[in-house]
Amino acid sequence: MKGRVQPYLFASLLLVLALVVSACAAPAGPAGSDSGDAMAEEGEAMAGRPLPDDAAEEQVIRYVTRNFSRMNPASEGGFGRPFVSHIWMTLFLRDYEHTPQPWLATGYDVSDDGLTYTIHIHPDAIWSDGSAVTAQDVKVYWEYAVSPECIGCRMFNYSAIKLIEGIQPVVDGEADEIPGLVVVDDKTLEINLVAPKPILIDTLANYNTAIVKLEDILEGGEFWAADGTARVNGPFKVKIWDPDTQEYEVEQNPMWWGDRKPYIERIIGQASADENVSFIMWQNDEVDVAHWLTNIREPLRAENPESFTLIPYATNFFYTLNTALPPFDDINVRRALVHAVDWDLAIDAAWEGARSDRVMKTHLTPEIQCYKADNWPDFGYNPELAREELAASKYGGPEDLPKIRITTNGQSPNYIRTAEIMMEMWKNNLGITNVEMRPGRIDAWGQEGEEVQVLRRSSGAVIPDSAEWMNGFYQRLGDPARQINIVDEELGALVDEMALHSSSDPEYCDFVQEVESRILGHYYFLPMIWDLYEYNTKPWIKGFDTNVDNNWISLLDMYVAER
Amino acid sequence: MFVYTIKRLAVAIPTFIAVLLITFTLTVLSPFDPVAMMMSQFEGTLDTLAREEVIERIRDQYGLNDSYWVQFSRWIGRLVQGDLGISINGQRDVLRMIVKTFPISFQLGLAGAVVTTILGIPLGCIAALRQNTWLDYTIVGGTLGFRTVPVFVLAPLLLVLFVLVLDIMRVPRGWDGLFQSKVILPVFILALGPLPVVVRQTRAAVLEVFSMDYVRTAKMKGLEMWRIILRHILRNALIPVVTTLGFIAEGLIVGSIFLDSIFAIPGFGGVAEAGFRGFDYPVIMGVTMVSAIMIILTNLIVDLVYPFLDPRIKIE
Repeated sequence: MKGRVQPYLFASLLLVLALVVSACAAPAGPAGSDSGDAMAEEGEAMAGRPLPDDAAEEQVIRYVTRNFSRMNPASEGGFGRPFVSHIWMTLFLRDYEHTPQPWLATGYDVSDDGLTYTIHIHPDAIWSDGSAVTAQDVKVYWEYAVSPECIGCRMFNYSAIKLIEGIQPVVDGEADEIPGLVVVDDKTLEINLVAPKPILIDTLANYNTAIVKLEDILEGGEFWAADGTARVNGPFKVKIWDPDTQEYEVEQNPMWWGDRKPYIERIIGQASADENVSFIMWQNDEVDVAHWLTNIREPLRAENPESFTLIPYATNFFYTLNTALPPFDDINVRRALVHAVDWDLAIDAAWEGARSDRVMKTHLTPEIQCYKADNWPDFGYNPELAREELAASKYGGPEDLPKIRITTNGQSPNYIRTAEIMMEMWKNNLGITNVEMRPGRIDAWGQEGEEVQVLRRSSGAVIPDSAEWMNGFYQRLGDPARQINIVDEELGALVDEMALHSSSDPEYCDFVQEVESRILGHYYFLPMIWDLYEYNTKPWIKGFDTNVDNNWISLLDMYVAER
Repeated sequence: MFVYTIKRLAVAIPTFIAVLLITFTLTVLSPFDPVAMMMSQFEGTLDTLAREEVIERIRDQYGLNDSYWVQFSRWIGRLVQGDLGISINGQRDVLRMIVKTFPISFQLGLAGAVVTTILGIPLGCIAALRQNTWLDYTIVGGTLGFRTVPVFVLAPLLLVLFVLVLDIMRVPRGWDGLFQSKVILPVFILALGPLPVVVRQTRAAVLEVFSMDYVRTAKMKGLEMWRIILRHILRNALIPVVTTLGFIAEGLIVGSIFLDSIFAIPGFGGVAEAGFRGFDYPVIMGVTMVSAIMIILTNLIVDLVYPFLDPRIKIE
């Protein structure tokens, strides 16, 4: 009898032993632990800048969003952006109105021909190891950041950066040095362009151009920024940023050289892939700042609209039409398909009311300079006109129209619903039934992919300059790779003329609006929305503000008030 | 037994290689582009009309524009050196991702299996002893009911109940080790998945054994009921249940995808989810490899343990 019991005992013991051993072996440390240390450091951190009267004792922000990627300004584009420019500073930092303000640089001079920019780095700027931030640091880091060695980095793709003299061989990995970057002295960097580009300074306010100590990357490998050992030059530093353990925390840089110390001691990032869960955390006051990507925030809008802060993104989402493929080779068909849809109704239904005020009526959004609300007057629901336009097309009517193939370029239910509503309205108003939509990417069509004419796209003013954005549109309209294929030589001439004007020029907006109007007049797309990105902050977070780059620009003055 | 183990492992090696080959081929030859999928998360910050240059450059950087055979030989070459490659989406070492997360999922999975056992066997036994009564129907129906609610629905519902309605806890997030209160809810939810399997299997096994001659003899000898259950019924009824538990534990270890994401647990399931969602093939390959090893080892261990549980079975 005894002999038969032993295997059970043995198995049970093994199980318990395995649990204990694995528990001991597991990495410890909570995600979002907020015990003790910070308070001990508070006295030092706050030195020289007393807290406001209503400030809470603990100056910690808990920030929840969907996910975080590795903290690296050169490849950043996700949810680490809010404070990345306060860790590794950009030369300039944009304000809410998109104007670049001095940040790591105190200012710049530009030559009369617009080809040479002289950047003055702040004389007090130091790294967190106490060494000075020099023009040489900027030069060598940028030479790395645009090279193929910098995996996933995006600096090389900005139009103003592409114009730096001699940059292309470095981008292609054929040279190490950019001759257009000249170190004048420790605190002065000269940037030479091959053609004038007024948005260079705007570009240098983008987080992808932030200055990192190159040696840290070369010595630290892929985790150079994960554990807080990387040198920083901003008011904050990484304490831990490890997607593998899901621990994300930044804290004050004790070596911050600026004249204003931040109030905030720490920011704890909380990644929550399930937005239902992050909303429960919000309702339970476990987070101070939230950024949601879905309609989860809509119940809040009705009951607590003051918790919203708009990120002044200039982004629109739409379906492009390939004008090289029938039936979109005929502008009358394109016009008919636009006029046959009640876009206000469609967007309201597809986004369940969350984007009713953001129906796309122009490319330029209300958040960007030169926006003109009625720059596309011919836009609007008019079934009668749509039928006339379809009849006037070379196809004559719905019967002879070739099959229309739509891809949603993603699985978002909003895009899918919009496409379904479009199709329904085309059927009801124009009698068009030979339409097929496939959710997902164009790959979902397999061999038929080349015949897909309607693709869901987005466009955003990454550098918030209206002329630059319109110029970009024009460049891509005619590029066969973009599957739109609009050719308009007169528009090209107009764009060239627009490019000669800087944003401070009184005629600047006239040119921008004329170019936009002409682009819109090609009816090469089916509009959806100007997107809406917002933060929600609890009432005890004071002074919160953000810019188009999704940087918390007021981080030096933001504080946590008593609840 | 040693020879048997060696033979089994030898058979497992070609199976393992076949799994890797098939997974690699399907992943690389699929029409989905992991870089394009990665870039789609930056839609608000990167003009999709302008992103082709960036995508093309990143594809070059990861060697995704190379031919299938170049990519496969490079992957195998790295694998034999213990290098699983770099995650395209996460831009970090896949081996490190797995090494960091697997111990956590291992603990959670085992804990889930223990809870399943502790709950499932007594419930299955009670259901069998009260066959076709309200208690039987409640146990079988109730556990099955919980099983039918997906984790991504059940977990937020329970959070609403415990956090917002009853206000007895904060949202449990992250990982501080197994013996922490924040683990209770995830482990409980994890255990609910396979619970009906254990309950039904125990119930069926107990019912089968209950009608055996030796049980009837024990009853006629006047033994107390609990003694009959523990010594005569359960010991024989549990042999198939215990072997199933091995597979349940394996499933819980590698399969807690939703749970990891809901409770921000830095586990293996989260790595797998991110890999499959982004079609991140180095991660998919790493996850598949670990899962294949787990399945092969679990099969082997169950086979090796079985003779200890049932002396009628001999390994040959």
